Amino acid sequence: MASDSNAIRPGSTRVRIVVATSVMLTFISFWRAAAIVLNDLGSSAFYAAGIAEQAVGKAAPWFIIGVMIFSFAVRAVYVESCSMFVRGGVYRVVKEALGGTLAKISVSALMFDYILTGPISGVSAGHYIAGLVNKWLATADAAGWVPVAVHHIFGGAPHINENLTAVVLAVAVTLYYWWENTKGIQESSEKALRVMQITTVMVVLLLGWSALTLLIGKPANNAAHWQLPPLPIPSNLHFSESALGFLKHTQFAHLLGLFGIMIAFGHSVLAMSGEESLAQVNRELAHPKLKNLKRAAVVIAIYSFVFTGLVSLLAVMIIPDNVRVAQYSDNLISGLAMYEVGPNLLKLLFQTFVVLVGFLILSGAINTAIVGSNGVLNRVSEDGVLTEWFRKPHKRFGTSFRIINLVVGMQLFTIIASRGDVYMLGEAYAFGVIWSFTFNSLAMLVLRFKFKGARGWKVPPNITIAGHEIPLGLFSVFLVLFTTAVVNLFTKSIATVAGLTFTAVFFVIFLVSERVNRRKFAHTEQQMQEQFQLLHRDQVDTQGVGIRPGSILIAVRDYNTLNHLKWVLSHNVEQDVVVLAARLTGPGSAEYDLSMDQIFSDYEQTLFTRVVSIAESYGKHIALLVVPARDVWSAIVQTANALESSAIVAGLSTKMNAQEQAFNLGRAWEAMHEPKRQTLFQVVRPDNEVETFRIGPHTPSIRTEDVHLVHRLWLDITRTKGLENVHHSDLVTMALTRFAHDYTVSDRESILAELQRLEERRAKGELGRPKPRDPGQPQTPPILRP
Amino acid sequence: MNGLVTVCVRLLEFLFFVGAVGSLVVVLISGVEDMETIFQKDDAPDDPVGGDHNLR
Repeated sequence: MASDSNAIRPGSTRVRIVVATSVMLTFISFWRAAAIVLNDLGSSAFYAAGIAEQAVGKAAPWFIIGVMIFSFAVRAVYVESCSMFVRGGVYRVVKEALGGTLAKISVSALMFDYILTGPISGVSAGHYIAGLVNKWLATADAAGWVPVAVHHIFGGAPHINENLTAVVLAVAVTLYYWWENTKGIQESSEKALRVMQITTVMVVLLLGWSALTLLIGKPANNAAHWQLPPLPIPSNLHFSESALGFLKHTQFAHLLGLFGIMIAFGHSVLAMSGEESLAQVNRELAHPKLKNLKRAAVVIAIYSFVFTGLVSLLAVMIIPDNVRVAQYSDNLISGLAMYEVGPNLLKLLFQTFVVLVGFLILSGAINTAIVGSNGVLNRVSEDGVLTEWFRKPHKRFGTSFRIINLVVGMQLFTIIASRGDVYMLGEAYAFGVIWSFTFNSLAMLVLRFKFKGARGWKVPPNITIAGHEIPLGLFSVFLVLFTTAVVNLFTKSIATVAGLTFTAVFFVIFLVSERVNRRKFAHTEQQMQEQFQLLHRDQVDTQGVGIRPGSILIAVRDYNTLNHLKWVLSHNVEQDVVVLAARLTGPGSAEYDLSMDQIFSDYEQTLFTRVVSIAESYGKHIALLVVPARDVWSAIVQTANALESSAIVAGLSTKMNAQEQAFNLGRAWEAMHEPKRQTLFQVVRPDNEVETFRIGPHTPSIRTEDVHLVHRLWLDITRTKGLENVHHSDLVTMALTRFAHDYTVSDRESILAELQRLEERRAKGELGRPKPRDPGQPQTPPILRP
Repeated sequence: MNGLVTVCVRLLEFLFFVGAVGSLVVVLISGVEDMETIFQKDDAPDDPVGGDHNLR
């Protein structure tokens, strides 16, 4: 192989290289994943209980607790769906089960959920801050620190308009996270983790202080002892007019019984909003993916039960009835802080801490909503439902900025339109939450019958009757979600009108966009195409690709045969993994004239989409690389050399066997300029059997008989006086030196004839061969570690 | 008409009740499994089922 045909030449002759990086291929631990979800789910504690009590009365905490217990079951459905679809989410799941139309409707409902998560969180955070400012101003006024003139202007203690402040703050925080997401999400998981750590401190303090209050404090409402909220029975339910929605002037408003319980339950489902974020973070979870998903789900469920459930219960017990709904319905935890036992100043300081944490977690929920909406619309777009225009990566940051702009634009509109009314936002929000859950569970139920293949996990219990598996657990969860969603349609008039309108508008957008796409790409398969951020590099090096030396280089070409990639990822390899595709160019083409589109064509896009999909399913990070080349072997060895890779892994070629592949690679290695390093070449067969070759100078495999021969010679020689200190290696060195002399000076022909005879004996099987490995035995991956 | 709606309401109540009881069983069984998962080591096999399915 001539060196001038090489794709990458060391030294001054450089060719253009494209490094293709997936837009969001960053993997995170289950703690971080749980933190991201809890930023959404946990934030509900700050407003869900207040909204529920306004709707159903003082028994609301029991329903919140009931919803939190039920959320354990909903979480199980999400774990099953995520174990089937790495790029989970309601759209993909529903599409597989129920088809494109219902998938578009369900994802529209989910978008309604996500779009409203931001505004309700932002406005709620604004209410907490405004409430705190007013509390401090009232305290300052009572202490006589406020000038009389200011006191007169306000006609009493100075105060700020809570609704207006809430709107302004919500807009400001939403704009902040718009910019953060436009830049990229990498730091978001770090922030989410920090926010949850601070929130945990607050929760522990709140629960501890509340316990102390219950032990030594004076019971609320001048009662003789602390009282639990009234039991969740129909006679204790006191619905507000708006809580009955379309039923308020009908006889069904009085048809309570279990129906009343269902209405109350429907008004409390807001407490588990955010559970759907589990599917969003699943894609980013690190290896081992399924275990980490379950762990994250457990952390989320327990945390939200303790936080949202217990805090809502304590709030009703500790805050007196006359101020709880009137003053603290929009900032219930602030109220709880102010009615704990202890000095006022200390309580005011604790309220300040609560508000600070509330602001952090609620603003974190805004971020989660933007990230979630972005993820959902990206998936939809990849499926050809949204036009490519939406997914065009940002030139500088590589993010899908147009989708982010669209989502944030709608959130800002909602914040301003709500005029800071948390209750109204909460009512509307519940529509998206319950319907996206319902669609997801229905789809999973249908998939149990439609797709009987392997799953990572199944919602228990399942019983088998006459060979048919009946998914009792999944069916039960669906029944609760479906009946609640139906009841909500009639009792949440704001949610029904706003939700149906939004869903219809989004559905039409998806429908029109999909038709435009179909016309535009009539002859192109557009399914599941990942968008890549393409970065030019003039030369390949570890820094440019973003990996450490000692990496494993995986050569890929055919997207249908990527089992060697799976083989590498399935082992707990500590080295970085680089996936290389060599883009073959014609012998006459000038490498410098290749455009980006020529190097990274539709084929490379499909190939890398599959590669990224596999890497995601294992939760492992990979670096992607495309190099233009006239010879694939040269491209591979020179890239491996430039990246200081310790091993090259390839699949078995359809045109040659593993030995021939290794021979070609070795030839290319020999043709390469110095400096060059030895490497390992591994060929993975379709049955996952691996053949390993060393490329470059290496210690040869020596037969046992030859080792014994050297040893016997050494024993004999060292008996000679003066040669006691001779080593085995000295014998090998001398033998090789004499051999080289004979070969080059005196006896070349007879040596070649001898080797020829040796080869013939090997061919006849007269020479010993190494024993083949037992495929049944577990094998340590023969991948070199640095 | 009212009679029909009443029947629908009673049916919804029944389905909700059945679902709620079943969901409680899901919570109990999956809760026990979750505890096992938490204490499992990372080097135990983790089959990425989603990977292949996702490629369809």
